[in-house]
Amino acid sequence: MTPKLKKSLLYWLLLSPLCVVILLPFGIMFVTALRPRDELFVYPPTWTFSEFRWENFAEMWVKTNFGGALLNSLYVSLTSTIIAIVLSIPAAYALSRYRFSGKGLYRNFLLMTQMMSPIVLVLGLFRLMVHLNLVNSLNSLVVTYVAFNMAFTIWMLQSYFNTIPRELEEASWIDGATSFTSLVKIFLPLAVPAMVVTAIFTFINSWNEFVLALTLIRSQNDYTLPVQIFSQVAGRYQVEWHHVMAATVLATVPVAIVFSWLQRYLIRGMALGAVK
Amino acid sequence: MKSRTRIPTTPLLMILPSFLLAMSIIGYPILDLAWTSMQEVSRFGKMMGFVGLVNFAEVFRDPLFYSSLVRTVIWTVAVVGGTLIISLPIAIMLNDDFYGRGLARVIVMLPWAISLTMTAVLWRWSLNGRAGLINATLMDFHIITEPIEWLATAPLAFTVEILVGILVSIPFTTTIFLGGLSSLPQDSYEAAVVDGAKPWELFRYITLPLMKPFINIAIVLNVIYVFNSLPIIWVMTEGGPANGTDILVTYLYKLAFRFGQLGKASAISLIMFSVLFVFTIAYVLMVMRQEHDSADEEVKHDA
Amino acid sequence: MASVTISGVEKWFGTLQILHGIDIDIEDQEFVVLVGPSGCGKSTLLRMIAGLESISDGEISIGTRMINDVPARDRDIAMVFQNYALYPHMSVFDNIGFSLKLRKRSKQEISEKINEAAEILDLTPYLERSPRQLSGGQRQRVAMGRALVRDAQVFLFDEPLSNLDAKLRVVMRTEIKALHQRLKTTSVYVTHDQIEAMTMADRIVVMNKGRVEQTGTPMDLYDFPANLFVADFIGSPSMNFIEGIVAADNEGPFVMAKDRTRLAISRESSAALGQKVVYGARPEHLVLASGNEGFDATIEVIEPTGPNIQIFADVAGQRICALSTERRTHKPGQRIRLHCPETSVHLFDASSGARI
Ligand SMILES: Nc1ncnc2c1ncn2[C@@H]1O[C@H](COP(=O)(O)OP(=O)(O)OP(=O)(O)O)[C@@H](O)[C@H]1O
Ligand SMILES: [Mg+2]
Repeated sequence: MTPKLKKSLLYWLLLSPLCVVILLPFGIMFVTALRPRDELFVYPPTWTFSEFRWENFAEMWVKTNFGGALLNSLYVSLTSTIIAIVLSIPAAYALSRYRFSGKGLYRNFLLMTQMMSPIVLVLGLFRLMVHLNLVNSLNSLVVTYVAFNMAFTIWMLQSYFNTIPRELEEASWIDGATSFTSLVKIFLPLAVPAMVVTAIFTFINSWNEFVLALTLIRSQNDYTLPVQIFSQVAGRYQVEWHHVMAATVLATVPVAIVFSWLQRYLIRGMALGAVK
Repeated sequence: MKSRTRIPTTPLLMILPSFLLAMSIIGYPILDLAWTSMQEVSRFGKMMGFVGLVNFAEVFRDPLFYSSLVRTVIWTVAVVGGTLIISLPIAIMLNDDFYGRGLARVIVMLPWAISLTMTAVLWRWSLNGRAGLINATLMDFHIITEPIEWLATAPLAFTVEILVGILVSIPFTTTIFLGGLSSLPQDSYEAAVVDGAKPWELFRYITLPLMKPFINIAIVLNVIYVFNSLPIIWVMTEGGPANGTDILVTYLYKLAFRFGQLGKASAISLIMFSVLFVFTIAYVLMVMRQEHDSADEEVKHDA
Repeated sequence: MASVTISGVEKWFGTLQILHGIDIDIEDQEFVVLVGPSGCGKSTLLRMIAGLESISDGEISIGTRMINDVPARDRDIAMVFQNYALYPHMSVFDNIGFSLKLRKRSKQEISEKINEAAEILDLTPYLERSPRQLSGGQRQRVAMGRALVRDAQVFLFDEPLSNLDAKLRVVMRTEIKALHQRLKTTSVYVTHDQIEAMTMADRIVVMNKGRVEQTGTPMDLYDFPANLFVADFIGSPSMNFIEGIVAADNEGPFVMAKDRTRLAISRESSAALGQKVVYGARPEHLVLASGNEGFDATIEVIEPTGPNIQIFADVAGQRICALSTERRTHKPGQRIRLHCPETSVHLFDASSGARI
């Protein structure tokens, strides 16, 4: 046996308990989503079931108003991602390319906002939205998600911008480009991958947010997915677990796939910025 | 000074929009909370007049506040401690080259991709006393003979929640460690191997000291995140049974949005804010010191 | 093409002064090399000519036009960067043609010019490649090509060869010089490599700590360094220095080193008796002597370089270097006599460092 193979076996052995614990609930999610309703509560509980009930998904879609919640989630996540990126690009560019007084202060300010969690401020935020007449409006979520994500997006963009050599822009100025041409023809094309990656992470953050969505949205029609699914579970005597699990499958699997595909960028970002 | 540099307005204009937004969405609520915490507030959010520190006094007389506080400390210490102890060896393994590393990375990172709410819903169902498949699995392996009601009693429910808390904190922490490990100088390892160091000694004398800044940052960030984490406990037990799994955030949420005790809730928010603030300052100082160190290194490198 | 006039130029970064009043006149068609140790401000000065750094004080003109407030794109200069700064998302063809495209030249003119430049630089087979797919030397050539198509008034180079290996550097050095002889574009070339400076320059400007130490042709600087810094900086291996006091006896004036070693100097020297001085002799001027000419030295290390043998020896407690072409075998520990003809001796005032 080669040393590498030996090492691999050892590592997988060490990692397996964690992997099992991580994957187990997903397995449970799938087998629950697919089993007939009357096989949910059998004693003793078992993994096996009589048939694959794909209809569960269709039923769930109608009964839980999944489509509506999906649209709400999409609206909130897309809008807040776009706004966050649009506001963050100039700020990240300034941090990466200019020296100016107050730069250090601004970076520390961003760090502070990143640390402030929605939950501690949730009461104040709720009252703010009441003042602005935004309670029950999805836009209240958009605004707050942008604000709470901005530190992350600026930091992430900045650490990528720093890897684009400043000389490229200088060379283009000497070649006769205006600042604007240089930005459009040289800088932005090179920054596209960074912007896409950052946007996707922001999207996932917004997609998964719970506390603010639970607090600022009061009417069932405007629930986002996490709140909608939670509302199927919380405070009910009769929970339709097969529907809940079917909804969870639809809400998590696409995001998990995209995230898995992108996680190495996050690690690289950490290495670049060393968690700054 | 002879400098004729123009006052750079461009960068200031570029950071202005993000600054204003953060100020109004994050700054204003803090002021509002401070204001509300010193008011008598009706159930419906109406200010009934200035009462000074009465709300704070009430908070400090409240036994539920203290039990939540104690549980918050247990929750934070247990989750952060557990996460760190598990994450460091995992990061070291994932940083090493072995067959299937890509797959292992994806699995370990998976909980990060799923919202805490969904994870908590999944576990709530998996741990269901009557039909939960965790019980089924344990019974299949003859570890237990009877189904266990995992979430029905507070101590057991709280323990389970801590374990789930650890599980969801591992990906982020591992990512920080992986970033740190990949920035460690390879030549120190080679030098140590040449000097005859064994794997354990490499870890003890090279990895651990060099990783210290990253471990510190992981501790502070995790403390902040875990201290603030609502969804797991909220979704799995809503602080129950009988307030037995309440931590400060769940208690605060109940006070504000169930019992309508806005003054008291603001006071707790403010107390939590101050705790957070201390940790945030610690974090900022830590990051600044690290930047300072690396700046020093660059200068030395140049010379 | 045009002259470049730099007068009284200063640069401040905040409260930190980097350039302390620089005056350089660069003539039309001249190839001027700025040389100096790392951090002395060469790049900063070049970037000020290019318009990439603001000018804190003083004036820079190209031709008769004062350009202090002209943005980089309107200065009509071309620049080759140290890391080449090739646009990674454009092909070699587009990299070279970018400036022409910005100036809205016709498609046909652009491709003619690019092909012409590619021909000169041997880049024709690589025009469709992206910069990533080129070797270091080829990238360097693309950067040159980008400057070539411009017909700019002035070429600026910031250490364009420092990322190449030693052999390629020598080749490219000659190519750049040949190119200049052909195009005759006024050029300012920054390097910290004094051999590059010597071989390429019409005129060298030696800088140190934000000041100009000396300006002159390579041979001027070599033969008549204005001060200790230039004497030390120009020439490789560098000049030997021995401290001492000016004295005289019946054989003529000499410098007395610490251990009373007698170092002969020219009768015409204007050094005053008793003056503290530094005696300088280039390694290639130190010859093995016989009889009582010259001074005693003890060989410490011998290093053959091929054409020469470098002899490191102890003179008056200091290690000096002499070049010998003789194949005769010397041994460490051996005592020899070294001699430097009086006319080749350089004398500097010990306190000011200025040439005597
Ligand atoms: N933006 C800046 N702010 C502050 N100081 C700077 C800045 N840019 C350069 N300097 C300082 O100015 C001095 C001169 O820098 P410059 O790049 O001109 O040196 P150089 O002669 O080109 O050196 P090298 O040969 O290493 O390239 C250095 O001490 C540098 O630290
Ligand atoms: Mg330089």
